[in-house]
Amino acid sequence: MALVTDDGKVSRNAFVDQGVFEQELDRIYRRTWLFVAHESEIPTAGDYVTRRMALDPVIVIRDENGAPRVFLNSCRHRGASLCSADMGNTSHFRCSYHGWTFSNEGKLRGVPGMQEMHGNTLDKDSLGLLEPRVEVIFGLIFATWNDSAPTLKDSLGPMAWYMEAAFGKCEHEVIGPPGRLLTHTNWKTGAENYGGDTYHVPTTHKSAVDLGVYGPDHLAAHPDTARHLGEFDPDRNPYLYHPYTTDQGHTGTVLHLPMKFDKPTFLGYEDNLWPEFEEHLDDEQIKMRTGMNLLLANVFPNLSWIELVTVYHGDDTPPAMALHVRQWQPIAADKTELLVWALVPKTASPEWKLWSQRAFIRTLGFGGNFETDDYQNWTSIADVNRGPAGRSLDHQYQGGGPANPTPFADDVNWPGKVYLTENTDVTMRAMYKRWQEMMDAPPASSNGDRMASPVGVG
Amino acid sequence: MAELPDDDTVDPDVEVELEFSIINEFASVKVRKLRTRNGERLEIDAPRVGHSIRFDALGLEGLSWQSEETVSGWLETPFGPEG
Repeated sequence: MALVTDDGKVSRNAFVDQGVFEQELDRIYRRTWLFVAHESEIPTAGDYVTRRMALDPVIVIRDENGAPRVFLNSCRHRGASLCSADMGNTSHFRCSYHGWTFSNEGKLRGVPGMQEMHGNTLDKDSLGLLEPRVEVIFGLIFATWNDSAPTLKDSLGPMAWYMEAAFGKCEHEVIGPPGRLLTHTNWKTGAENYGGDTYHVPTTHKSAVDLGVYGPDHLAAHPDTARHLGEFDPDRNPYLYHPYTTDQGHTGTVLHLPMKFDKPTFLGYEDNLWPEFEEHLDDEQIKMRTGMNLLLANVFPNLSWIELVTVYHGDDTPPAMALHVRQWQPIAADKTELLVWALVPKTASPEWKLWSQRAFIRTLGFGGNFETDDYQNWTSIADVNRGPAGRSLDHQYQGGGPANPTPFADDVNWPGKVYLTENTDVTMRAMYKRWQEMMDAPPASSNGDRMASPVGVG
Repeated sequence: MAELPDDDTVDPDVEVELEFSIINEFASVKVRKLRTRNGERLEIDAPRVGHSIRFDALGLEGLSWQSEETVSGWLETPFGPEG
């Protein structure tokens, strides 16, 4: 049964029903590319972090030859987890149950008591660790269990261009380990929000907006920015909104100050980084980034990212951009583990990195004003729709729909479908259209999608 | 030289010049630079599996050209030699 209708309604069962959740694991998470780590988290041979691909725990490691590898974090003997730590460095994994030992290239090397147990007949070559396909784009490491999936680039479609604008403008590094938060909400609630729900900002985040954290007045007034500005029209909406969608279900929004800039201007970044950005981006990406104060997206299904200038810090700190990646890791219909990584340009000054980090912590970090605002709403959605009455209803995503179509943008030349409007549900409809398509597909076990193979097999 | 704790695992004829450990979630070893009466050695001590080895400069040189495959082969018996 379709839970998403053509006119923009999504059944609340999609957010609370455990049967739907189980189906998502098979039809979506078993088949798509999933983000697992940033390259800077495992810079040296043997460095590893432990992550999850939905319910499957994985080890993300740089092997002895320098290649990023991903393995199911499960011993081939009796299934115990191999790594328990969140991060570390190792050449081999030795299981804590019976001691089976695997190289960081996933091969079974050691079996205690081999002679006594097996008389050396055990076929170790067939017992490597299960290894999903791995691809890296702009420093972001993705993996999929689906050996039949298109390449990562094809799966990203037009979204790759927007990701390049954010992550490909220079080499980035992650600050510290990712924040982790176990939340009482469905994974799609955060994903749809980061995919372009600008409509909630004036209500949910009123207190932060009223403080002037993002207000263009402060930005225009700051000497670091003011010297780049041409004209500023205070009668216009303070921002220009360009929501964008893709057929792959990836969506996002770009915000600009309604000001004219006489040259490429990367708001919130130190001037000395600008030439490097220009070198790595194409002309249209440079134009998009000029005067841009917000770029956000959700890469279907569960990877969101946002680059946001904090304009007013309450002191004389210049406007600072914070780029962060967040993943809505599904655990149950009403339970999600949120992982959050803060990224900075590797060559930025230590002082700027601190400003960026602070800007992030104060806004979209776990204790930041935006984050706490959002969770009040999102946990309530999971709470109040568990009963039969709540489940009988739909969520409404008709905004900017056929009855009142969202206008396409005629002022930019970006990939995907690009619109020009502040408030619309067009991004969410694109995400749920893709969601329904995947949920309608046959089960992974019968649709010909091959499961990834153990190392050395297949 | 920093003062190091008394350790009865070191021969009375050698002096410990440097000591540190290498640890991950799977194993922990103690590494010591030992000064003998006439020279020096590097000791690797794995107390949890009860094995220890001392390398001189030549032995370490030989170690430097071992392949990862060779090192991996040492772990075919993950807790040390059997039977």
